[in-house]
Amino acid sequence: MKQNQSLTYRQSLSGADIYRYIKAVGLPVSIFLLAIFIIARFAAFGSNLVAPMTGVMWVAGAICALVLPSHRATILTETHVTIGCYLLALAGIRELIALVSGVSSEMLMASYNQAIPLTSGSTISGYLQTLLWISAIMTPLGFVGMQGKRIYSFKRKASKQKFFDQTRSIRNSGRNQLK
Amino acid sequence: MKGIVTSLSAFSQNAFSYLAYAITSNLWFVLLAAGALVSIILYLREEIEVTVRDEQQAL
Repeated sequence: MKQNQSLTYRQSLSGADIYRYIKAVGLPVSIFLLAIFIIARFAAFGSNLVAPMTGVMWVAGAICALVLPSHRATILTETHVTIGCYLLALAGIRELIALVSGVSSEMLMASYNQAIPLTSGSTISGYLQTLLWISAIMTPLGFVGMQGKRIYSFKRKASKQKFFDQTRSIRNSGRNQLK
Repeated sequence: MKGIVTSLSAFSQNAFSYLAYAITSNLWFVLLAAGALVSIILYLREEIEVTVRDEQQAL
């Protein structure tokens, strides 16, 4: 048989395809580098709490994406956005703590033009630390719970038997309506 | 010019050494790296499975 290879039209990679491939590799790598940077900024708090929590969130997202192939793109994007926002929020709270750590009660009174208790200068950084701890623990717990619920509700709703029953019901009800 | 290349090389070596140290010094980073690797593989599989290249005879 004659080979007419030169007459075959093949669509080459477009710019949009290349961008999607770069994004597929670049997004996880950039989030990973961000995680290393933020964890290093937090020293022991980072290596003992932020690193495990970020890892647990990432693995939960990856497992959920493996189990539910139809929701894969959504789950992966959601996982990366959540981890990125989590890390940036922690870094932001850390900067806020650094900002208010040297603030005294007299300075707060002057800035508010209002008399406040003398202990307010030290409690403001305490509140921010509480916020830091709550954000560091509750965000991953909420995310993992959400992914678990997603798997549970999908498995409960989308069984093969239920799909056949639903189709049979539509067929039978359609027949009944024709009568 | 040679100085710039040497500085860039030293900077890159330093960066990779720090990355290797950071990953090996804390085992939780292995979890992070595994998550990142699985995400990259799944993203690429998603792209490869969804994309269909057009191929047909011109005549």
